[in-house]
Amino acid sequence: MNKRKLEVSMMVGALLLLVIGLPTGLWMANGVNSWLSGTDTYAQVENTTAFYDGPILDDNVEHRYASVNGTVETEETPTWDVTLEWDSVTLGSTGTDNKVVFNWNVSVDDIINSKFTGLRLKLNCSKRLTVLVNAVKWDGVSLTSVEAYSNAHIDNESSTVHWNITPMGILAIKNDLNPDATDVVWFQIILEGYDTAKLTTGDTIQFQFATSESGNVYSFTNYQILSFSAVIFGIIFGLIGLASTKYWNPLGPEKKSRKRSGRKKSRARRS
Amino acid sequence: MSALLIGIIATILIFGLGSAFLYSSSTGAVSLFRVGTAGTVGGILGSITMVFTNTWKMLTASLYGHLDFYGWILVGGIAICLIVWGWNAFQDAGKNKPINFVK
Repeated sequence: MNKRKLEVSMMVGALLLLVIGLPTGLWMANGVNSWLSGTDTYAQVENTTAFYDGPILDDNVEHRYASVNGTVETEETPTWDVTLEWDSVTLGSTGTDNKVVFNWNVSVDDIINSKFTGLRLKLNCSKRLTVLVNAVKWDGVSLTSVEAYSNAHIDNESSTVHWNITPMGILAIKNDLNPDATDVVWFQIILEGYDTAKLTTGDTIQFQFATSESGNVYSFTNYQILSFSAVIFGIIFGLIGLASTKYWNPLGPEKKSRKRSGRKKSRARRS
Repeated sequence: MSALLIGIIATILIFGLGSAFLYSSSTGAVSLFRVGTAGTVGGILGSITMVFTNTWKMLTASLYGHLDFYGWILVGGIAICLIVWGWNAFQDAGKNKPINFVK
């Protein structure tokens, strides 16, 4: 193989490395990290401290909970007790199609820099529910919302929903939000009635939200997995690029042999 | 395979499909892998080519600076490849050689 053929091989190889190797490498790194992590540990999200209590709606109303009836937002004062594993909220809104919004005071960066592997939502309601998790950005003027997890429906009994967090998945959410340093970013857990079972006044939802994360100190954070993969693949691409220059030829010995064979041919022609 | 053909394929793969997937992911209900609308050709393609979309998002994140210096190492490595290959093709053209990588 001469240098030019090598160059073509490297180009095709680099393209395959980019479109298949890079995401596969990330997936494998996450898999290895999960293996290092062992069994995940769950920590209950403490409502009184963990939920965002700043401005969450366009009119800057400060509250932890909001039930939304169409376009009208109503402040809720749920009954709950953080000393128990299960908490509950009873809807006070008089609407016929309410949503319950929990504001989880964790930013995208918090998750990226942590060993979070998922969010577990245990729910108990007399009606079927749809569960959404949105990442939200407040830039002081308007709210931007990006869907982080969806398509989960729970039946009218105690059910558990898992939002599995992967390094690539959380990075994609940060891409979509693209927050500035001064922006406030958090997550919203939104519960609403599924299909015809709408949430109305007096409906009670029992809930327990918990994060799962690696309990092993030797495992890596999501950011470490992403940055490690970026560095490794960056170096590989850089080396491929250098191998295409005249300054470094990985086929150096072959080049010499080609010269020798060329000399032999010219000698043969002369004779 | 000529440099032009490689360039066209790379451009379609990296920019064409990437833009299409990003556009499709921004409209309607997302599919299983958040690419394209569920049940559409885009959604099915998106599901199959999830790995490619992840590449695009990783590059986007690096360019946004979300991976700090480490992301720029990735971008720099790819840039070195593109600059070297472009320079080689330019040199071939300057020497009046056909821009073919395999003779």
